[in-house]
Amino acid sequence: MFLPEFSLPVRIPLRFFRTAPWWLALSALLLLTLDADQWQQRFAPPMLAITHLLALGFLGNIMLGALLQVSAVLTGVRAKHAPFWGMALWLVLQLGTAMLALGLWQMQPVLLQAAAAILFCGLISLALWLLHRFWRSGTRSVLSWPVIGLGLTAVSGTLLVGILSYGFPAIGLNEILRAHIVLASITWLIALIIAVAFTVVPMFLVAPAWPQALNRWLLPALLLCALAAVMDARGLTILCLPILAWLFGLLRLLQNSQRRADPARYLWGWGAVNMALVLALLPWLVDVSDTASILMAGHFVLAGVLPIITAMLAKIIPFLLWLDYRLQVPSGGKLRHMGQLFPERWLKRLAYLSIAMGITFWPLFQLTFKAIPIIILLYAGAIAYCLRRSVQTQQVAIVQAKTLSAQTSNQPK
Amino acid sequence: MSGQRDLRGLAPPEPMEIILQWLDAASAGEQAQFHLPHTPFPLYEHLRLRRCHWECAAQSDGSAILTVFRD
Repeated sequence: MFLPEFSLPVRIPLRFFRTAPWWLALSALLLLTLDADQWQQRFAPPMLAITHLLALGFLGNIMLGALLQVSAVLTGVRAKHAPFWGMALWLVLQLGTAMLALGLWQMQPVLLQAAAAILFCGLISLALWLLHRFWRSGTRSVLSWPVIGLGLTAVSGTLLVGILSYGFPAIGLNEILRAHIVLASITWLIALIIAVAFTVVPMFLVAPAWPQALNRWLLPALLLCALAAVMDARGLTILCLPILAWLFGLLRLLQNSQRRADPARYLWGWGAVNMALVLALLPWLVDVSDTASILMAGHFVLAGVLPIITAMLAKIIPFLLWLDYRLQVPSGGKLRHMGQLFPERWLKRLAYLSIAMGITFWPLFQLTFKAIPIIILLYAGAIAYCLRRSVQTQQVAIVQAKTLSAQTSNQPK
Repeated sequence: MSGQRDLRGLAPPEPMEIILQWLDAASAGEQAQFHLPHTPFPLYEHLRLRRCHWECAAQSDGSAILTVFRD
């Protein structure tokens, strides 16, 4: 019997992926409005608002879409009423992001509290539900670790809002701030990137499997190092160790990939090197000045995370669309490979753009900072265009196949 | 039995296309075994649309051996 709830309907993760570039474009437009002073102050309200638009609106949408999709592919997680819950989660994220950014921009406690409540309820519910499903599926999924990280990030963010609004609980602001940044960037974002890499790199780049030891121990080690950094700032010095172990494992896999000319191979390598570089330099530079922190954070996102996200999207989205196409056109049809949905030349251009963003970020920041949001806008437009064209190509192919099938069955025998 | 095919070195969606093409061409009673890089959860939805049943054995290295029976 066919069970429609068996796997995730394609429109659920796609909705998250297609929303992300709009938040990125909004962040870039708001960055354009900042003056030179505001660019240098990481705790200025507009800078905090834009940081959260990027972290929750852009990265959050992509990472949640990827988490839902990879959970369905790897562990067969299924949800009753998936379209309803998928839409509810999407709304929670968009509403929470908008309210948090507005609250930070205007420093409005009421908006901050409402945003924290919405995001906390939505993200904690998702994390608990996924952990329960992983546990019930009986598979020891590597995805459990980033999901724990997501929960911890939501808790630390809510505590941060509580401290800012009521001075409760009585934890030092610097400590909870460091905890929130470490938990969000390491235990959630990087942990999810690593968990996705465990599957996506061997699968799409036709590379050998990851070493068993890395697969088993890397993410718990990353969580422990991150918790050490949360408890004590000196722990920041060991954060780069698990990332370096992952980087060496990744570079070895990429070296043995059978898809040598695939731009995704270079994007994974470039992004991972930059993420490791930032984490290695972080303990020595983060307290030097606000400018150093902004440079580090910008380099982490633009040169580290963005290339990897580009590589991930260019593989996950056409695969999702192909799976959906095959459900609607069970055999034959014009779509025979993913390259028809997301051509390699698109990925090549996105790769040039994202690598250029990473390379030029530091000099542009010093010389002509307004150029940075313009390049970000260009990237947001390019990725939104690619996503839209991929979906259109799939829909046209489905209509053509169904029309052809109807014509064939109507022909007199 | 058509023997075991190792599909671990192929990029998606090729392994799924190969399995579905085999199934569409197979006669009732035929069966085939495929070695895949991991448990193919997304494939199950496609198999459910066809006249078949299957068994999947997860391996210790994370790969999976899928046996498909054409009904």
